[in-house]
Amino acid sequence: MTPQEIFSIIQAQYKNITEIPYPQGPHAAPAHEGKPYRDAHLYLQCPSELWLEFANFLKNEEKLSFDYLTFVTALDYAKINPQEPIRIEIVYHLYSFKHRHTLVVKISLNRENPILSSVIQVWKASDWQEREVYDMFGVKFEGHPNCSRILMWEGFPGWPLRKDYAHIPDRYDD
Amino acid sequence: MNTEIVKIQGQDSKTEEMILNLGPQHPSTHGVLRVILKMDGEVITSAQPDVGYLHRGTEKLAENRTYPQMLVISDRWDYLAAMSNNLVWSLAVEKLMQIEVPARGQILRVIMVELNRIASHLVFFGTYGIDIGAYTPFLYAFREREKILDLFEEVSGARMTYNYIRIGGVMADLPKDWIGRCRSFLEWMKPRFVEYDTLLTENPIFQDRTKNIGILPQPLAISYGISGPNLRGSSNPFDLRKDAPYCLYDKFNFSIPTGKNGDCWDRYWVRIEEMKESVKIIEQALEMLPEGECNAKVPRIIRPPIGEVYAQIEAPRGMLGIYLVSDGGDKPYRVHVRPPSFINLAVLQEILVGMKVADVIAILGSIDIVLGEVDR
Repeated sequence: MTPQEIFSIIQAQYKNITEIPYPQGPHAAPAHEGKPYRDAHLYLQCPSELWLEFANFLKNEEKLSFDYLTFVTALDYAKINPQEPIRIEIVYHLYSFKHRHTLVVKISLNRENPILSSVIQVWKASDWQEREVYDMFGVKFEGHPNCSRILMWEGFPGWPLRKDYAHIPDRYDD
Repeated sequence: MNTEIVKIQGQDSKTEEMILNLGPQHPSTHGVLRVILKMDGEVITSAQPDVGYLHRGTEKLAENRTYPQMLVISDRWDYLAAMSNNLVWSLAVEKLMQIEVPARGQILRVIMVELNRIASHLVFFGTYGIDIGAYTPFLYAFREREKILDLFEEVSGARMTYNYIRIGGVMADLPKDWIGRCRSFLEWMKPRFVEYDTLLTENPIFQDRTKNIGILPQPLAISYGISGPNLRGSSNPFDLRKDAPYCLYDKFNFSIPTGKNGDCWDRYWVRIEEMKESVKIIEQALEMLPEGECNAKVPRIIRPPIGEVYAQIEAPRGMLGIYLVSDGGDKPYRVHVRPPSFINLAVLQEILVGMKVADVIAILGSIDIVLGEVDR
């Protein structure tokens, strides 16, 4: 299915979910002669309170049936661009074995206190990957049975992949 | 007549849940993996893998490195198949920069990646034999792998972290007579598969230890995001080389082996068959290797435009992907690696439950993880 067909099916059900436009020329970055590039998939912006319901819809709707969660990750927009709001963005990359199409869903969260409902009941693949996002960005996943650190150890101070993370000197430093 | 109530000795004794700590320092965990097993007798009631012992913070390191510098780090994720890591990083940057690699460069990449797939599956074959209790296959597998590493040493100068596939092409063209040596290796390799079959595949003890053990049903595999030979073992013929071809894979003629039940033996068998397919691919690639340049023109300072890109390839362990966000600078804004081993390992907590403790290592070995990639 083409991205536009997927979007029209979603629009019929969910009015609040919008398409993220193709990135436009350089703003914060140094002037670049190259054209901005993005993969030719459908990119959607979903409000955080709607996400669990929307995820169920994406998986169970016959025409979409996104049964495969390729990966989950997050982006910290702390200082990229003064025109864009400061936020943490969670990225869900979905794939459908039945229809062979791809979808990217992004959810913007408040950077001070990021909370999102977990989709572990929809795709089990989100179990460890949401834990990794929690570990690296401090995003709490509601409804996750074991939302704890996975790669770093318990008690590690701070969220390493946030842009304002500063290394605290320890005994391994010179 | 009085009925005597017979009391069985030990009838009122209680069984206690036992916690067994497997790893992190244990040869059969293939690195530093810890699994906390809860057992009732010898049946496992819960398994909790604990990862992160090898965490090196790749994604954080990427924030302070330029695009070519990051290529060096990519070698260290899945160190048994470093060519695949080089390839996926190069593909992601090339996609973002909109660079087209010449056909010779593409075919050279295919040759290297497929040779690396054979080498990687050989390590699986050897170590899986050891896991189950057969030492000999390991020696056979490493004898063959040695020849592949010699071939890699000739082209890249390294035996482990190759750094051969570069952004825009490859490091250098093939040395003199390399194609001939590669051909003779392939000819030598083909009869070896018969040896493997008599040694391990058709061994009744091996089959007893692996058949109907650790069954991974297809819906569960898809829900857990399993990819690679583990998914194909569960009879889903999903392979990015066919389904989303990159590097001219659509020009090659090869088949995708799939298992039937999704048990340990199927996962093992799929990998053995994949090695045979890889030999076929390399033969075709050597045949069609075109003359000409192997590198595209790449600017000296790589400064991709704003954008985001997801590049994925079929690595020996599954779908290896790079999600790359650029803000227009000479360093990536955000790099996320989709590590197949990490995602495949998560299913362990599900398929170990109900199995006997003696099968834990057989199941863990059949998933074929590399801890360098799990923890990154």
